Amino acid sequence: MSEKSGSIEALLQSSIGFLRQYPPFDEMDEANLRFLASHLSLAYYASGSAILAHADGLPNCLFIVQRGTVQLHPSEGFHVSNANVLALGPGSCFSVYALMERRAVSSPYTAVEDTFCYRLPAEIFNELLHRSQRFQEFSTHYLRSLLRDSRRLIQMHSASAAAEQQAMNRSLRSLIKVSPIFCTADTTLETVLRTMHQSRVGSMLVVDANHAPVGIFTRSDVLDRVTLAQRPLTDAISAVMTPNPASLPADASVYEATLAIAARGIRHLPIVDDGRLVGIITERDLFALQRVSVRGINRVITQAQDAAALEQAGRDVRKLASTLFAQGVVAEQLTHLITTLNDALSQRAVTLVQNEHDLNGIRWCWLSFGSEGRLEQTVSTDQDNGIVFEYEPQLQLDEVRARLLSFAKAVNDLLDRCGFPLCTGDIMASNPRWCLTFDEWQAQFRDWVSNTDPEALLGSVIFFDFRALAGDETLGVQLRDALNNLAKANPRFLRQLVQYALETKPPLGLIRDFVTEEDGDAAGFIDLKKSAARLFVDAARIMALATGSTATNTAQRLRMSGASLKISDADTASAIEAFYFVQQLRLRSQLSTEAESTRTLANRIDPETLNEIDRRILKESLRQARKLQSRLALDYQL
Amino acid sequence: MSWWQNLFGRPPALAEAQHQALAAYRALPKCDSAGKLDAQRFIVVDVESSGLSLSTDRLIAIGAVAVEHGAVMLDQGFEVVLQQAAPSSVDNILIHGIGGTSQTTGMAPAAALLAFLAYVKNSPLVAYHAPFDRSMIDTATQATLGIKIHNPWLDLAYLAPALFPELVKGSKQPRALDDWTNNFAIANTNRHNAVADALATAQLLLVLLSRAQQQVSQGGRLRDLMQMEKAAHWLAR
Repeated sequence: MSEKSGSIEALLQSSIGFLRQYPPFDEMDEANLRFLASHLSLAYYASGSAILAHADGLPNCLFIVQRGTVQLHPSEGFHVSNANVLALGPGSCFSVYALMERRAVSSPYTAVEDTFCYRLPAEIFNELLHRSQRFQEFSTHYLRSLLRDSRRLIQMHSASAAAEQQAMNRSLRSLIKVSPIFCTADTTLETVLRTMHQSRVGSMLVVDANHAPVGIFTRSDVLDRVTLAQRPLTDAISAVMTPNPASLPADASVYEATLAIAARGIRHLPIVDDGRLVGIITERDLFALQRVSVRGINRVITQAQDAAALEQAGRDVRKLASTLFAQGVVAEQLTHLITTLNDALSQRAVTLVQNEHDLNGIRWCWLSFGSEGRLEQTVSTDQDNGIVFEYEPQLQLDEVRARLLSFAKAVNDLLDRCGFPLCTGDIMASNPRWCLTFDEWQAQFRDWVSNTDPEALLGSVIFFDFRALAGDETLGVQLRDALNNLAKANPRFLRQLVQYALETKPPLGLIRDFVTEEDGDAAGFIDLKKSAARLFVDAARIMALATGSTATNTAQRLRMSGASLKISDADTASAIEAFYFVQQLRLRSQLSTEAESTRTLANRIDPETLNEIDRRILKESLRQARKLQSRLALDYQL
Repeated sequence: MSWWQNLFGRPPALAEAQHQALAAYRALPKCDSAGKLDAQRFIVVDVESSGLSLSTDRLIAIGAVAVEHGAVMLDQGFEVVLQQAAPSSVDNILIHGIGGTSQTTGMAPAAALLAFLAYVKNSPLVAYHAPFDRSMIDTATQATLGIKIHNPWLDLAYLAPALFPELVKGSKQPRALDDWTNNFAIANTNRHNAVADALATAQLLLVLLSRAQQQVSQGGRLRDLMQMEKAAHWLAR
């Protein structure tokens, strides 16, 4: 052995041994890893010290966190909320984009605990891009990993423990702690009550010979079904149980259970495996950490006797959305959940108002359009609704419509008070244009589908996302069928829809990252609804209509139609991921905007206030929208 | 070379090129203690020896790594194993992992030490329990090159408690390097490899430099560290 200096083995092995634990280094080949390791230095940053800032100009190295935590803040001078701060731990790289694009970083990086970072000189970084395909992929597809980080970030700031982070995706099986308490239908009430008392459980499940649940009896049933009904305790449980209880398979997710509990307003949910009872999930199991419960809100909504109670429920929905968002529930599930609760809220509002209005002799169905129709409601969504109706022949149309309009006006006002602002475009049931008979709706749709007037087309798109919400739902279903037939019979219509959709371009700039609004009080902002989310929604709607899909939800439409249009699964997945990232940003912005007065601004975002990672993801998401648009342009030769 | 040659300090037999290398080292200006800390180059050293006795044990290997501008320069490491007349005891081999064959086939001591000096130049040397490393190296250079090296030494065993008194409060026990690296969660995956130990020590130095620059006004200079270390020696008595 002789003297060696420079990159000696012990130092190389120390760096390589560390890097191997993290992507992309874990997949890089030995020679490139040695090349990288032989050019590293290791620097220390005391807690609180700045590592890299915009003022430093073009970074001269890539940073790889070896130990400690580095935080990325939004640009200086902007309000910093926790949700906007990204934390980078061991193995994370930063200044990747700044190096690739040869510019300064936009947001400062700060050590938030004692931190060591490996530094790789910029020229070696560039050389490595040429040498290692894996490294190049990593740097150019940095985004996917950022998206992961961004989600992790939201979860990190949650009040719940790390184990709760994936809570909504866990299977119900993992929540079952003890074997369920059950009995057969002929068991006496006395035995049931005694068992419940001794086992300290709130419910008793009743099963048949195959162990399939056939009924459920809960503690809250005791008062009205046994005590007040003065039932002898010798009666069989079958006389007082709730028959055919809702149940879910053990492989279903916590999220599905949450929805089931919310939609049905129940507290106990039997879990079955192959039809056999294996456990019971209670609301408390699902929301142990949550102050506002889904079922609680649902109960408040369904039992609300007046406007004030509904208003409170509207605020609770918002609070719950906040909590769930903080717990890391992703946008797809969260918007679905919000829509479920908002459905209940709207249905209750309709019911409350209906009691005060004379609607005799009228068959009517309350329709929701736009985001509620698509099951994509974010928190501050304004109303888009209408009514389809039929009436008994002895009545006069004008008189019927007037009655419905006054009813609709009351519903619209109540919904407004509950947190759904009146539609600025007046697409509401209280507008005579959108309170139409079945035949009038059909004529209206025919007009849109066959007409070439772009104005008419613009007005029509959100109606294609309609869903029956309250009243006689068969009217809604029939209307859907009629519309599908119309669309099929008018192929030119799709082409026009594409033309219309392509008019809105993603706000991506050639020089700057984003093109923001130029005029008025929106100057400097991007409207996430108008210029980002809608691009996906429009494309998905066209794809659904083109393939005859009846789905109204954007992700569902992309999934179902993507395959028949021969779009690769990976591309579809990327588009959906991008769409939900935009939705997630909207939610974040809406949930952090507490004051009512600013809610109308909630869809606007100033890209400067985003941390660098979110900026990159937003940019990439908009590129995904552009990709969808190009695909449509190609298919329709526009 | 015989014992009296060493005794009277006669220059040992060196090749012409080696004389020149030695002269080049001796001609270097002395390390400037007024130099700013953030621009200072440090050489963090760890030696492996045949045992812990300064008088009877021999230098087996030197591992070192450079610290510059507040970062460990991982591309500026140094490692040399010195050729031994006879390998050290088996117990000792188990500690430092340098096998007998490697010890006897190492580099001739004069060439090894000259390579070390060429690498070190006039930078200050840093070690944990520096007197041990210093003594091992001085004995070796005295015997083979006829000189003691003139670089200043910094002992982190004194500097670390001086800069982080809150971490040693109430403890009479002298702390080991491992205690400090544990404090700052510095990993050493290959303990008792001279270079790996030097790397761990170098990371400790980074932490100390950062703390020193916070404490000393006007950026901090090398002499501030040296004074701090000296004061800590006095306090320890």
